[in-house]
Amino acid sequence: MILTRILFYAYIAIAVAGIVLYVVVGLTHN
Amino acid sequence: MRVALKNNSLTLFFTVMFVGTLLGHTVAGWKAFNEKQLEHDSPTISWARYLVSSDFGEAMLENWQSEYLQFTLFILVTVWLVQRGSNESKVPEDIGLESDAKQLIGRHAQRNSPVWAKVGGWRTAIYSNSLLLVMAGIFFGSWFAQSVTGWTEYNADQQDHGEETVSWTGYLLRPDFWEKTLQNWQSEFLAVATMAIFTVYLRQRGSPESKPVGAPHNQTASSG
Repeated sequence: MILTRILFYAYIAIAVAGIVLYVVVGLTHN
Repeated sequence: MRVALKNNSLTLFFTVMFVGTLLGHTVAGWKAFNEKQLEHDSPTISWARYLVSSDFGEAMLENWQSEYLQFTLFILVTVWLVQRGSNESKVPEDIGLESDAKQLIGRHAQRNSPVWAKVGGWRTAIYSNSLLLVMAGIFFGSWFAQSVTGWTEYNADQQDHGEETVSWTGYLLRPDFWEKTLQNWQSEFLAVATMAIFTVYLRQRGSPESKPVGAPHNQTASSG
């Protein structure tokens, strides 16, 4: 179940990172 | 280790597909972006710079948001709406949130049920809707990110053509934002409606996305 848990948190991290990164990119007009 | 890989092969397969296609998207998008720059006698940019550009972010996130919207709505409306005969639907008798006993919550929880399903109160209420809450959160977050990267792109275009820029709220009313949003939504709704109705009459042997090959057409919710 360790790999399962890693994958779960990886996908949460991918979604949060993608959203936060491009909100910053957009708001700083890059 | 081999057992762990096998037990997670579905997610791992799509992870490899996701990373591979995302990389492909960055390269193709970067080359297309630089071709446009050259057409306009503007300077080209590096791949790394393209990764943190609104051009790439908008293209990526307009697709993300529509995928998460599709699943968010599918999770939500299948609580109350059914498609008789579909593998994607529950049976009409189960419409609604269902009983605590059927959902294994509170005093009906099993020994190995998640803690938040057992404890009751606000924690069980949140956990009972956690899939919907997280999927909806990612949908709204990525849609917002699409809007701010699209806004930056739109204003850069306006400046290139010597026209007035708009505020973020002004951009939300522009056809550009809604064209990029709705072209993605329509394809998601087409796909999900197709899946709901096709699984009534069509089969894929061995797939949990299909009923068993010999299941009658009017049998609802019976993965095989």
